[in-house]
Amino acid sequence: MNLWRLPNIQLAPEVIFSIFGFQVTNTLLCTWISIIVLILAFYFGSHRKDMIPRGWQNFMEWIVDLLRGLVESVSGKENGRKFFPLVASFFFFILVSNLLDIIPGVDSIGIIEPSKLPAGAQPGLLLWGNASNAIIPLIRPSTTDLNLTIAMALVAVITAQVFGFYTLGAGGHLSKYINLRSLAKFNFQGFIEFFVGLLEIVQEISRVISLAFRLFGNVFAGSVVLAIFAFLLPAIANIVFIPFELFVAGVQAFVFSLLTLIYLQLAVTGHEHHEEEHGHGEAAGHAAAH
Amino acid sequence: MKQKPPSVWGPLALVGQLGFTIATPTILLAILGNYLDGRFHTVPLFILLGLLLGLTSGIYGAYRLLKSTGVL
Repeated sequence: MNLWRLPNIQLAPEVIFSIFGFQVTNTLLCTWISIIVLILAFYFGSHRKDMIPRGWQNFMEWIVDLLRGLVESVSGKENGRKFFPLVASFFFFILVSNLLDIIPGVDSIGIIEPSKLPAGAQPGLLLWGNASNAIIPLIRPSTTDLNLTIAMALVAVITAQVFGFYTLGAGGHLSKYINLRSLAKFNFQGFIEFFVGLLEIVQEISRVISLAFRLFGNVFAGSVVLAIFAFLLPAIANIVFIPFELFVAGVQAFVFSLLTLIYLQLAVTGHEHHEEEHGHGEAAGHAAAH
Repeated sequence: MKQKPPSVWGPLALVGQLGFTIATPTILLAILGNYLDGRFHTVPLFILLGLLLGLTSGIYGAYRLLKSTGVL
């Protein structure tokens, strides 16, 4: 008899229970926990509003101020105020749900799946031997669910579209994708610009997938590494991996929100900077010709 | 005028995303091309077109990403 079995790695989240036919998965439970943690963190960060912040309030204000500075340095003061709520929400939510991965018990406390138990096993509070992988974890980090990351990526890309329409107007925004004006120029550069517009359409679609899969892949791989090494080399291997996962959790949360910010900023930037570049190119061309 | 110091945060956004930016459109359009080839029985045509367009789009996207994060 072996001491334990490696945990099952499953891509899809497990359904824990259902309310009126609405299936509640373990990643959804984790999403609710993250939301509650965030509400508590921000409640205790902001309910006193001291002029000279101390302790927790000071910490939260420091993080929020850091993010606000970053958003405003990328997209300016006016647009920064519009983009900040979405970008900061993404950052805090992804950070908290990634960090839940590190807490012991996540991915390993759960309910017993009777169909996976070997014959004759008597499940107790702890599972040993052949029965040790017959468990459905109650909490699983929500960013290891592809549904959540695709949903967030869709929110990011669609919000960018909405801001694009809102800022540039329908004509200005759509001409980024189907550039009839440069097609009407009927020269080589015009065709290239029209073609680049088509590439932009492909880009928008692939942004959803690349954002979603990068976050999902990194966090899921991290949680699998933590789970497997906890069984392969208990107590020792995770001295290395837990700090690494802490780093990954922060970086992934930051990368997702920064990319959202960049996409929002690209959406509200019209053709002017392109035309400026072309202007330079033409000027250089004229200078060369003369 | 004083030059702005290079930001550490911009390049950090490229972690993992740069590869995905190039790979995703290529794979997407290759799948689309494969489907169209099966539909119209024109086997190498659309998948090659899709790969070409996807790779171009990926490189263009990577360029945009590098440009907007201040690396280029």
